[in-house]
Amino acid sequence: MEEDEEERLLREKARKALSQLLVQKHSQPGCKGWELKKALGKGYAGVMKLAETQADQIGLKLVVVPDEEAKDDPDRARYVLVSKEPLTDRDAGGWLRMEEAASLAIALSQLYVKGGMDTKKAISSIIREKLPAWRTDQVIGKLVRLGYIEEDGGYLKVGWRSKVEIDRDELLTSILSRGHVSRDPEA
Amino acid sequence: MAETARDYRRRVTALPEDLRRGGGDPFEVDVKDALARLREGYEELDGDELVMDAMAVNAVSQVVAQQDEWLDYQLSRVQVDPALLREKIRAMDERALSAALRCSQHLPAGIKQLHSARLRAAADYWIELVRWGAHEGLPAPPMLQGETEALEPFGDDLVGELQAWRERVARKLESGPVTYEEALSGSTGKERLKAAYMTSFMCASGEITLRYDPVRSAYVVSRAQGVPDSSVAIAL
Repeated sequence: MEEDEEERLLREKARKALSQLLVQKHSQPGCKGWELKKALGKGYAGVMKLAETQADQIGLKLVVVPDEEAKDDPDRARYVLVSKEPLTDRDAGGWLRMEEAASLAIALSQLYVKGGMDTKKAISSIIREKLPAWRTDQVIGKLVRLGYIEEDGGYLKVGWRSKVEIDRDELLTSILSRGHVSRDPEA
Repeated sequence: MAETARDYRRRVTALPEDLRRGGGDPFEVDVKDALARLREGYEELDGDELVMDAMAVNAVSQVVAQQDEWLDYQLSRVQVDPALLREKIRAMDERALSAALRCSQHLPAGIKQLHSARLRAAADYWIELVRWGAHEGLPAPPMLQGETEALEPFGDDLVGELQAWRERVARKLESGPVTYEEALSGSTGKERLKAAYMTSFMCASGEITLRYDPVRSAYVVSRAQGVPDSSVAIAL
């Protein structure tokens, strides 16, 4: 009987966790670990495991993005629900034009193989092989503004939004194995 | 227990920490052999020797955990040849590159909503918002209450009426700035509306200037100063 009550409480907390993650309260999606701790209590990590299973049933997955300055602190990490499957709808993600998405693919693939950071000059020079110089600067500016890329002095880094939305291995595999491209949702 | 067996248990206990500090490959530790050697003479252990043995066995389990971590780390660093990647990117057109990104993009789920309390606060803020361009603390022009007046057409004598008003205002300003009320000569109704209209016309054309005088706590009309205002609100 007591176990049933415990189970019920845990399920209730998991539902609460999902609603916390879904209802956007800030400009960035999801919420921080400390916010979940405040809402669910100290043992929120256990609740998140059940919430993850429940999210999986509705086609979502939980992504945990560690804080840059405290990578091992779960309270400072950002918890976000994302679609389990990659984009298939042509209209979804329409805030990026085709050349902007292509530039992001180039920039991220370079950043991934360079350990997460590279000079802006180096990234720009590769994008300029596809786009005119003025458009390259414009696109990089937009990707920085949208949070896909972070600019730090003369260097570019993987932005918070890419950490949430883009699966590193899937992107590199897509580029390296051209066969994947045949499933182009835009084609 | 022989001293060599004690030493062996001490060394095994220190292994995980040594590996952590030295960054060595945990697979260099032969776990099976270590466990077999620890089992030798186990039956003869007693007291603190059993504690030492338990610590050594625990250390072996930590080494196994480190082997797992090491494997994960190595797998996460699957080497991608940057030159090959560059060639692939060169060969792909914008459409293919964009598709590659889409294939790896998982959109965040989120519901944007506006709480009713927030909406109420926004409405309150909007209502209390100071008028565009107005100074906080300046008295707002008195609002006409109860009756309204319509500005009647000037007819054919607009130029004549305006000229007469110009001369009248100029006479008043001979001895210095006067309050807006004085400039309007305390007129009421249609006359006041016409006077206010012509005064604002003179302000906008740069003939006179209308400014707030904090000493008098009133709007004053003076001879033209500086650049004329592009538009002037008619205060009634």
